[in-house]
Amino acid sequence: MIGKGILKGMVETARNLTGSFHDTDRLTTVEYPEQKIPAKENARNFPFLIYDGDDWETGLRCVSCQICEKECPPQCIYIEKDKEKKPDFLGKMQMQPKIFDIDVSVCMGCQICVEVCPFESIRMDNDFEYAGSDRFKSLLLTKDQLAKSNKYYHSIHPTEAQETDEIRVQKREDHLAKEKAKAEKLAKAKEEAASKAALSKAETAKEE
Amino acid sequence: MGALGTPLMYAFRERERILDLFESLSGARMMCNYMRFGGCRCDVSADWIKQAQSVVEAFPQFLDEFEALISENEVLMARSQHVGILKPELAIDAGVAGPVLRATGVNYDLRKVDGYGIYDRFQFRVPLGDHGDVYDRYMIRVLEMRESVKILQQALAEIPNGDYVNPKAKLRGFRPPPGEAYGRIEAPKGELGFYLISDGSPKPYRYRVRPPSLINLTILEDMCLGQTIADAVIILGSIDIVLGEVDR
Repeated sequence: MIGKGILKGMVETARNLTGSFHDTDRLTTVEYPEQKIPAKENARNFPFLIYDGDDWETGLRCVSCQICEKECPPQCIYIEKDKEKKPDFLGKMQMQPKIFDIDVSVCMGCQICVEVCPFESIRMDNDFEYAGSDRFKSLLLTKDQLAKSNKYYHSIHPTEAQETDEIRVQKREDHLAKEKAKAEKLAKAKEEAASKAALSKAETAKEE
Repeated sequence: MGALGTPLMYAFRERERILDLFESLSGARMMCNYMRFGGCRCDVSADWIKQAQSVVEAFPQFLDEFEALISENEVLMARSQHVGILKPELAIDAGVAGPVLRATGVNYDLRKVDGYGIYDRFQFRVPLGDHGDVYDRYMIRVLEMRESVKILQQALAEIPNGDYVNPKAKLRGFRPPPGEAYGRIEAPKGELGFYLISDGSPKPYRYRVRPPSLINLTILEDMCLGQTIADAVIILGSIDIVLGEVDR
């Protein structure tokens, strides 16, 4: 009988229509701007730069090593080094970026920049609501737009942020131990030199 | 094809469930970036496997619904049967692969031919078409989804404990010995191949992708000959191209 297949399809549609009134499996639509699905913890979108403390310019972790710029597959990162250095969280003088641009219209969110960053500086954001009236400028995020606090990072990816913080604590401890060992070695060398000098002085005195 | 909005939306509903799984595991819906040399980027939780199992369990039910909706629809059958017929000889000559080739009746599935990865461990069948028309291509895809569900059920049951990435594998600065290699897999659209020539440095000397969509698209003209203009749209749809692959 012709029309049987169409009727079968209509029954299916009717089942979905009635189901949508009482079954959450059938009614999956979310009224987007008013309602939002809570973001998943792993969700990532575009990269941002982390800063410690309150001031983004002094606390920026990026040392403009340009590894992410080289590794980025679509090459959406542009970095220019600043001539002036600033101290990092270990107190070492480090470079800082003068220009750090990410073109989010090109970025594909692959997370490779995050994986290669040796300074835990660049991480993934989960903000997906980017829109602009200008095709080029409004989607080219500059350093001040990219800089976001560590607190913000903790609020979007708590587990990952905790791990990152632990890495940094470990780094600081390692650095302090290294400094201490260095200082001890220096002191020891000084001591030895002093004793040697005293010995040689005594010897020369003896010879005389 | 008239009024195909409803099945499309139902299919999108299922697609969202799968993409939600991708997102909760790897962070991104499409650009997962999850595979690594010697493993994966991060570990799956027991919770995630349970979610994946429930999605896989529910999928055949959706396929039944989907088939009830359009497989026997007289309008769809009248529009797609004996339209855009592809002969097996021409398909082989043109280098077509994937569901488009199997819809013509050629038994060629790289998962069976090459048996790469761990596909030799799974029990599944390769559905084949008879006529090579648009309806066959549709039917092949539905049947392949059913086979894929079987593969997924077996894979999820056998997922082993242990390291998610081989600790000895080098992720960056990998230096292959000089020479050339061609690797291919059965992608949803057909044979996806990668040809590499190495000169011993971390960056390839030459690198060429064999995109299935681009090569499947080359026979569009032959399939459209003698058809009406309205048929060209459904023939193009039945090849199922991804423009990111075609544009190279």
